[in-house]
Amino acid sequence: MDNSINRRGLLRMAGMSALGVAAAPLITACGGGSGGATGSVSNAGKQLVPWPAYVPFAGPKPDAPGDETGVQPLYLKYPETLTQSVNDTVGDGSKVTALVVTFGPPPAPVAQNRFWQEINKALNVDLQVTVVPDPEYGQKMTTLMASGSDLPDIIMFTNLALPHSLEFIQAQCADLSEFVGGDAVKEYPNLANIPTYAWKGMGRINGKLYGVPLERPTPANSLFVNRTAMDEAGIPKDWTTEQYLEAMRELTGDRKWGLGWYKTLFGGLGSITYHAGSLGAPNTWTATGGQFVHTISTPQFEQAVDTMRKLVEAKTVYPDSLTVSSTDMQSHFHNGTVASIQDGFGSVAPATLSKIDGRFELDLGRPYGPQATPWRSAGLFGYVTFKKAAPERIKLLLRICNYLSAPFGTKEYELANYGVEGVHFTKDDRGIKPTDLFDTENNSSLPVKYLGAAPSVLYLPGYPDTAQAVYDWQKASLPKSVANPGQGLRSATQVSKGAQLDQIIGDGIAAIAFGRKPLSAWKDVVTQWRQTGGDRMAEELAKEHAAAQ
Amino acid sequence: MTRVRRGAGGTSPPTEKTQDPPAGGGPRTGRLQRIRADRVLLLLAVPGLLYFLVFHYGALSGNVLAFQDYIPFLGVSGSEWVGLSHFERMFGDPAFWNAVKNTLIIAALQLVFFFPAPLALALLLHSIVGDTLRRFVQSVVYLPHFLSWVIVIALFQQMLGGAGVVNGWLSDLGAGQISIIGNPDAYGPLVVAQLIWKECGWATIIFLAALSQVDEQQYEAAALDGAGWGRRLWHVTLPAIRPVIVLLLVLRLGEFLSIGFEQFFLQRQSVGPETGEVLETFVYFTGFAGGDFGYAAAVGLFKGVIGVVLIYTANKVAHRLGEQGVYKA
Repeated sequence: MDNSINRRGLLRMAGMSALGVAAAPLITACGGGSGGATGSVSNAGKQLVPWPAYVPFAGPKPDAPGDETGVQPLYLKYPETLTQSVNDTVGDGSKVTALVVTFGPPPAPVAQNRFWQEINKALNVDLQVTVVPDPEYGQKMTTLMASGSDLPDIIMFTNLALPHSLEFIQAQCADLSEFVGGDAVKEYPNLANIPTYAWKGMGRINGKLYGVPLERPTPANSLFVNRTAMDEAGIPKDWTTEQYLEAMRELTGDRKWGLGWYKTLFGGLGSITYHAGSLGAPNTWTATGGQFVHTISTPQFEQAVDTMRKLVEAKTVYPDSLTVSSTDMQSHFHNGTVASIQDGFGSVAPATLSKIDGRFELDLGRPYGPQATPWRSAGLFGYVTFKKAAPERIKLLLRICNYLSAPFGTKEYELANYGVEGVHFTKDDRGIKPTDLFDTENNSSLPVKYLGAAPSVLYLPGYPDTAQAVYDWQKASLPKSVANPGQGLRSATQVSKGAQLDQIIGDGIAAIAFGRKPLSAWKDVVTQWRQTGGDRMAEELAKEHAAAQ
Repeated sequence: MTRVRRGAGGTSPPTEKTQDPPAGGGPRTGRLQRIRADRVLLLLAVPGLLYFLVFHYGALSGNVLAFQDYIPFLGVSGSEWVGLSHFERMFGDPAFWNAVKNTLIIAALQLVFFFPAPLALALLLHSIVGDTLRRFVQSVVYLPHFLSWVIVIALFQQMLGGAGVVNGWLSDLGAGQISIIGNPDAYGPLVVAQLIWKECGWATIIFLAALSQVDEQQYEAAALDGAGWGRRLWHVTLPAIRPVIVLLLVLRLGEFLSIGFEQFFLQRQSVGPETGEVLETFVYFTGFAGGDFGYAAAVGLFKGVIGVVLIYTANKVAHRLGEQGVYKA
């Protein structure tokens, strides 16, 4: 397979971003615009396409069932018999280009990559993937959208607020309403198996559906804890605020720390999620009586900021938490330097467990406050969109998505997640056992898991005890959890200023937590946020919320 | 620059002087002849010229963004014109003035502490007698230039951070902790120290070239007259390389506000925007991260205009002082 698109695309983007930085004093206009009205992204007063029908897949029987609060079905063992969910040919042998984010190293070329070859064979396409490393994702996407031409067939968006992304999608990407809206989605049974909360989390644009969500379970950014260290210090699983602060002090000392943050958490609400949820602050917004009020103006939230300040003051936080990268902080957690970190729930995964390598028992921390409101996630990691094309082509791309979204317990899931039996994994009585080749050939380095994702289940091959602990944690904390009422709703201010507004919150939390400003300065942060666009965003969301009722 | 290169390399062929146009010939033939004679040099200049045309002059057209509510995929033709409203907003924006303040503080620190550092190092290197030793030291001091800022900053953090090597030693000795990384008061000195560590060696190159041009006989004469090391430096070396120092100083002043991007982008978060936001990161966050390209371009344009004024003024001052400066109008 020739990589020319890949290379050219990357070169172009690299060139443009280099130019961007070099020419920062005179930001340059690149690419002539495609014209076309941006229109509004709002759904208020628009005709709304119905959400795709939900037809759940009758999968293998779990060891413990999931429930409607977001508790995932638990599988301690891998199912013995697998079903086949895709019977028709997916592709037509043509070339399909895709742009996705990656958290892993780049994949080996297809000629030396059995995993890639098998995916191509199963999909019957020549899949060419341009991977964008996570830290550069925002900037690369901004430049891609600015260039506006030579777009790949599949463009994947994460939940990161990218300026003007919704307008870009409306102008350049295919309207999927007629293909997946309402009962039409039944053409693609694996897409019909995606729960409605994921579609709602993605939201409509201007009343229409433009993407397919990559489902994620409802727990948001969670507290990962070193249970072994906690047990040694006699720290209980359920704790009060005082007990929590005391526990962090217990775990600190001798060049070890109770917890570690990392710099990307300070781009918005990330670093405070666990504390805000523990202390009962609403999840991002409250929508009562048609009014939208942001969580940062609640006393509970201010208390959470204060808790973070106390943690730093007591020297229980890793001292360089504002500068350390997420990967470095994860390593500090894996090797026991810090006893807890906040991380996305998606890190409850075999990769994390293999890095911990049995040094300690992994668990998740329960919320500490008496009236906890743990925050639910957006219900999705991101979504995929398709470049505008003829209906036949769009159907082909949807079939690719459908294949890669096949649920746990199917042959398609096995290929997309574990690779080829005997090559990338073997099966024994403990379940799936990855081979050494899986370290380099997997769906992280060739991120097909971001082109289509199955609704997640709780199955950790080789670690049934951890899976059980996580299940118990979900049972204990999710019933109290709350969703963000603003999720999936559109606000023009959020589109144009969301990143800037997030930055104000993140900078404010960091300044107070690390003692550069007193707690009394929090109200100034709130005022600044409201004046920069927060108030306008609240009004827009309220209008949108009313229309969606 | 041309002056320096000729002076240092001494390669410029004396063609201009030897092939004067024949008397009576028009200026046209004269110019053609000169072009022919200098064709190699002219060809050598083409890539550089192209670079400036494409990446500097071409990019200048992007300044129209400053007068638009620019939306990237609509392009310049599709975006709305907003006149001077970005500039109005800029002058009333406390975040902008905060970035200006931080930029000025760091630029001043750089000028006072970074600018003389390579000169001092060059003088030191120049005074090393052994050729092998000098080359070795030179190579070593050039090396940090080739490390990216990401690595340099990681090194400083590993050494000086709260969980770093130095604080590790201090805590082993039972002494208190020093707070450098993440301490707003230490930020200015820290970034200048990083710059000196990384770029000082590399910046000696031009000074060393100038030093090699100083007439040895003058040193000998001065030494015969009983001038010590200090007097030789003051009366021979420094006057000889003064044009180069002034030239570099003028260029530096022109870029006074361009204090660098990556270094500050990578460390802004550790001290927060109150201390860490400089004009370049401000442009990045409003433009690339915030999508407010028009406003960011306006700030960039403002910075460019200040740069032009500074370089013009500095050059004029250099002329007043009897120096060549960067150019003679």
